[in-house]
Amino acid sequence: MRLPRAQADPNPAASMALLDEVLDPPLGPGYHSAARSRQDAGLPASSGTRTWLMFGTTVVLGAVLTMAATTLRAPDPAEAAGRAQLIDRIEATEIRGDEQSQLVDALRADVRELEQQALVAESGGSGDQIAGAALMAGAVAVVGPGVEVTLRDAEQPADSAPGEDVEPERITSRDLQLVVNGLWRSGAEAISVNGHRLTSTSAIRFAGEAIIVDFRGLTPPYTILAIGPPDELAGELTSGPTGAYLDEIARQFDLPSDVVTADEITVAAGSRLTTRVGTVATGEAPPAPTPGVLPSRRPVGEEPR
Amino acid sequence: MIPVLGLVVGVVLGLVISPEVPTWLQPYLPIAVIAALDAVFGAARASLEGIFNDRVFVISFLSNVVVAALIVFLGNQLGVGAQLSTGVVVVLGLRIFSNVAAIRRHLLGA
Repeated sequence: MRLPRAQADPNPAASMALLDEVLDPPLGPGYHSAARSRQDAGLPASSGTRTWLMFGTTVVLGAVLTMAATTLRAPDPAEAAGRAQLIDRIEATEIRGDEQSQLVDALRADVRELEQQALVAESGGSGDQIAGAALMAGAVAVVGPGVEVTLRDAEQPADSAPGEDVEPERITSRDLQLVVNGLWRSGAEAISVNGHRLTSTSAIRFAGEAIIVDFRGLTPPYTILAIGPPDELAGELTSGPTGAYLDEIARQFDLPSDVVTADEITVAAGSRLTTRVGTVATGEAPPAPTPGVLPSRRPVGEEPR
Repeated sequence: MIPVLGLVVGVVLGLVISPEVPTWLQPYLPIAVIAALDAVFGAARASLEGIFNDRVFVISFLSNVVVAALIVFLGNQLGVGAQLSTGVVVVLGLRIFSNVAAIRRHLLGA
């Protein structure tokens, strides 16, 4: 049995029927058939729009549109307001924190002056002792020869496939810790990171995506100032273990670092020198630390008074 | 006149009552709006062609909304909710555009 030969298609575009349907779909067939049946019944083709059914439907339509608009648009302003409020609060708190730390600096300078006066009056010798202790503890700014290391975040992702959204590499707290520890090891006497003096209780931490030094967040670039023998420090940072590490992160992750030696570097005083639990040994039984009250650090020799 | 009056009443009702839409219903709202718009433009075209029928309009409106919501619901259950939403929006958008083109032909002759 042979199939009859297909008739020549009268519509040359029949193979594009799907496209036609997509691009110019006819009106829903419901309207046409309803119009035909109404005409068959001897009524006008259109039922008109002035019916209670129409009224009810359009009421529902308007309500749905309004509900959708209000519901879908409402969260935006609320979120924005919340965000703005948070930003305001953060900024206000930061300003207050800066004021407090300025006050702390001023008060500390007063205390130091008073200490000096008292000690000079008492005996000539221990004045220098106090000054030496303050120098070691990081209570005063220090000037001397040293190095300045600058670490920066990468500007472009080290390796990313096209279309892939990769964040550029960033300096981590581990990098800073390694550099700082390398500097201590090669004889640095005072180090500060972005102006924060590192003391015996300082910590370099990572919180979320920010590097925290002494509970203050830092922003890149990270500048490490170190006072010490400049040649040894620079040697450590270029050919020593720390230098090897810096080379490695520069090569692998595109994290640039600069090392500059200088004859005169000023490292600021530390801002957080209180001890929380320890008190000065006086020979008697130490008083139990009262929680909430931070005993101020007093140099040995001040007590008892 | 009646439809416009109804729309105004509906908008005012929605604004005055401003009901709290439950969270589970919110993904369906945009789809419902597009489906309703499709029905509205179809109705406008039919009334311009002189074959408007209120029953057909109501049924097409309701079925559009229900079927669109059903497709999105199914997509959410299958984990392809976003893709199916896009599909629904594309199809209804095409229909809206072609209906608007027909309306334009009727009104402006172009």
